[in-house]
Amino acid sequence: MELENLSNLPGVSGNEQRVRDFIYKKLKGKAKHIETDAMGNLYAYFSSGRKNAKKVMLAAHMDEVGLMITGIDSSGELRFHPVGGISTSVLLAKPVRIGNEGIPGVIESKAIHLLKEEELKQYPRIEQLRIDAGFSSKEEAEKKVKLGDYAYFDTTFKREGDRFIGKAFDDRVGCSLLLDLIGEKFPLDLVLTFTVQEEVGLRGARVAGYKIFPDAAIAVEGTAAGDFPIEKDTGAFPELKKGPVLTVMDRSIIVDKKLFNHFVKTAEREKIPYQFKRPNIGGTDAGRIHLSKTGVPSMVIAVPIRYIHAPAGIMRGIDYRNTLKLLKEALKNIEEVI
Amino acid sequence: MKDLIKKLSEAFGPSGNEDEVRNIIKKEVKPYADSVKVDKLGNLIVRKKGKGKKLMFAAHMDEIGFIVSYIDKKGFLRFSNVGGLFPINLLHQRVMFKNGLVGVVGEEKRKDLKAVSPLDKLYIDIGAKSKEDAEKKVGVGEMAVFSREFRDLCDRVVGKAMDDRIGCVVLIEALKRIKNPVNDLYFVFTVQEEVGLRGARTSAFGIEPDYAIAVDVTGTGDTPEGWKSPLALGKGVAIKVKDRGMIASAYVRDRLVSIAKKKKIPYQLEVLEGGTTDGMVIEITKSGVPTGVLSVPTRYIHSPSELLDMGDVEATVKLLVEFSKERFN
Amino acid sequence: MNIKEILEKLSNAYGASGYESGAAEEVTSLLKDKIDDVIRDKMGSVIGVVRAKNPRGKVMIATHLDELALVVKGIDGRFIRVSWIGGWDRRVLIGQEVVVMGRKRLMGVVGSVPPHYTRDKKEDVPSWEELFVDVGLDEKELKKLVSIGDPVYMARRFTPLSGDYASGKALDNRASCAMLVSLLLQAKEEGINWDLYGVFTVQEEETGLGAFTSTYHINPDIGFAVDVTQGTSFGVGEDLAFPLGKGPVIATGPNIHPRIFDALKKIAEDKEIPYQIEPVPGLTGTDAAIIQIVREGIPTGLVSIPLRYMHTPVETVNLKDIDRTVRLLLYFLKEFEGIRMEVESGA
Repeated sequence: MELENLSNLPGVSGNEQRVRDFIYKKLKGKAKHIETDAMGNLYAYFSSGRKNAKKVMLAAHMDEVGLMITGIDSSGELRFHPVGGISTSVLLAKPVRIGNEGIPGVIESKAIHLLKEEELKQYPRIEQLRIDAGFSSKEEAEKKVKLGDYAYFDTTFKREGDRFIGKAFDDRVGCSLLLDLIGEKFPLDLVLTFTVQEEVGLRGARVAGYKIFPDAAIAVEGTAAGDFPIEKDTGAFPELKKGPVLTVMDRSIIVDKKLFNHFVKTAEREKIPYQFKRPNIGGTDAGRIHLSKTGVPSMVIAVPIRYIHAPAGIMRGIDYRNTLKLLKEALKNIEEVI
Repeated sequence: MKDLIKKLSEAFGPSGNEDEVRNIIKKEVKPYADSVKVDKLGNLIVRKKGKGKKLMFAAHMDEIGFIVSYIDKKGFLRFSNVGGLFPINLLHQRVMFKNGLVGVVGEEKRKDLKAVSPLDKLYIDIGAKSKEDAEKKVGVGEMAVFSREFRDLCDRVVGKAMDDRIGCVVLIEALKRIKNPVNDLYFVFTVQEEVGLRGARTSAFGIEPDYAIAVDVTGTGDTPEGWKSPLALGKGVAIKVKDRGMIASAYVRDRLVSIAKKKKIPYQLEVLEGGTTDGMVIEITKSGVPTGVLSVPTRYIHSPSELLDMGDVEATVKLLVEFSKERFN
Repeated sequence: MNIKEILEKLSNAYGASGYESGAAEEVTSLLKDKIDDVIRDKMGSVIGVVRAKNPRGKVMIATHLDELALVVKGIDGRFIRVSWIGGWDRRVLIGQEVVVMGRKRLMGVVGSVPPHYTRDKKEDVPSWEELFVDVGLDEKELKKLVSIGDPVYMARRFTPLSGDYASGKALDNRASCAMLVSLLLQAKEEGINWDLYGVFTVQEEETGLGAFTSTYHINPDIGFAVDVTQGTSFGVGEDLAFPLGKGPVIATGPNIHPRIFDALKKIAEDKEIPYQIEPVPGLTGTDAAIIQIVREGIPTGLVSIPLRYMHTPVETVNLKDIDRTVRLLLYFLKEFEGIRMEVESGA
């Protein structure tokens, strides 16, 4: 499982190179053919050896949400803007790393002693935030940091028993699952697709869908768990430890019924726990892929992750393993429903 | 124990005027004490001699009350608070003065019917016919307390001033049960806790104990849509971790927890975000006193009807008694 | 060991108000067998002693040992409810990695609701009732490992930044503690003219317990507190704070004995140590406010190290300011002659 390495790599949307390089090294020599495209998506082709095998695309995105340096103050402090959906509520007083060298910095937060009551009750706007990397002037800063450099949360993957904490589980968990499928034999022509820029509008997937135009597509994701404490009895799901999360409908797609039922049937048969995603929340690469050309039947399967789009997410190994198991079992005879 | 609780709950004793309470306690403890002293502020210090370490147990005798600040032209009394008087607990309540005079708390007409009148819009009505009539019965500077009788609800009891008369009862009971003390025990019934932990400060300076435990009450989270807290009636004595004024000595706290576990005394751990106890000033006395706090979980604190569980009281007494037997090096 | 190394050890150590043992052990191990005495007093403060050959009296320098943290106040299903230790801006806790010191150390985060779920609603800052810590365990596992009263620390490792800047948790007040450790070691090496009692006090952030009790116990002739003060950054100008890297800040005002202020200022000027002045019209919010009124009163001084983002896990200081504070106080301990209590001011 390459999750630890993948989680620690920097790869904010638009800057996925190091993640792609890592994945490429793992695929080399194992895939029939590996290629990229103008946007940076990575495609690995695995042939079934059969004549009329169905072409199935498995998609996971390489990018994570992060920050981009958009200006440098004369004091040496850095202005920035989020890349992808990050709420300012999780940005205050967080350590970050900047650029390819990973220069350490902190997102500033005013001391409580200097704040008024009203200020404590609301989150600041992004324009009011700065990163302090210890530079004392613009000139000093410009020696190490450029406009357009990416910054990411300075979070190191940790494991305690079957619990993991780390950044970017959305969607390095998907990338890791795809790599764990290498070596399995399926009666399918499989295209493992590692997309870019999912977090800024499902951009890489759109192009990938057009290029590959598979018979079916499955997006493999890390999805927001919903099991935090809530006041009313309105349902707290999906939950950790309850298994892979199957999407019925999110804001970008209503999944293909046949594929959906196939996954449910497989899970029931193999006694793999599974759960449903809360309808109408979020969107994935499948949202773009299923609308490619004349349409592609698509499905979404995900590992539940708490605190996605925040500096440190929490997940449990058992969910990863059950998601992998369900994927493997479902792929064995998925051509029956395509 | 319930008779003693009733007697103390119904007694008159606002901060600074604890005599009646002190006299009741003196009578109760005299046969069990080696010495009974009253210090310059009025603290009652009861000693049971022993060879080991000096342990101070403190519970406060005073209750919150009303102090008359002005008698108006018609004989109504304007008042201020003695300690934490919450306006929401006052409207139309009965109050009593030391001489037995009774009054009712009334309010000026409210502009916003949904609001609660603040203290300066309230007054006490003693049924006087005129200013002169009132002046014959009461004077500026006199204090009153809630007038409410104690009731026995079987396993639970309710009454005014359980904060901290129940703490006093715990100390008295413990005092009675301890024979041949291992340590040198000082049971201190303090004054003026509600107005700033004043009695505790001077009594602790005088005694300079090695360890101390304050015994008071604490709020619970076990009422409908109540404050979110795991504390509840019937789950045992509350051992304090932290409150607004102090962080309980880890050493004393751990001792209390291990004793409770060993002797199978039901207990709960407590983090209180509002309020504090005599413990806060005891621990900073001179070079410091490692201090713990034991609390009896109580509902509706600082109202005329403070409600608590007799099992929790018993657990508090037991734990205090067992703690007094500990050997400290 | 240089200041950076000492500070790294102290910043990474765990010692919340009321739970200072971890930090106390770290300080003790840095000083043990290297100075005249290292003891832990009855309330938990650590006292390091360096004696003079012919002491002019006792000088106590207090730096508070405790840090801000959280404490478990209840278990709510799979989640942990916490209360504060010290004054937190709750907003900086959201999404922060933490360590829960339960039966064993547990990694976790302060929970945050993802943007997907808050989409169209205005995001309110959660209250202390709504805040929760998540260690990813089930209710059953959680109850076995975590109890009310367990401390929860910020999971943050000391990180040097560019230049002489460094960031980490608890730099309020480990930056001053690092200063004091270095001062004690250098005082022992070079020799001073006052008996130095370096006190790493407990519970400053909550009650001032350590300052009250250690000062009473030691009863010094002169008392100092060394703490941190506000540092400038974006939105925090020189009208509110002090620039980092321009030297320690010497306080003046009713809380400070004028002879001590004068002496420090003169030493800084004579020895060309960059310094700044902080006029405080009332009480300084430090141990100095307590030290001044213990027993019969103690002539008190306050020196502060400018620090950015106070009371957050990313507090930042300039290491040069710490070095300069060591030098300033070392000279004081060598050169200060004393204070004569005279009724007539001669003004």
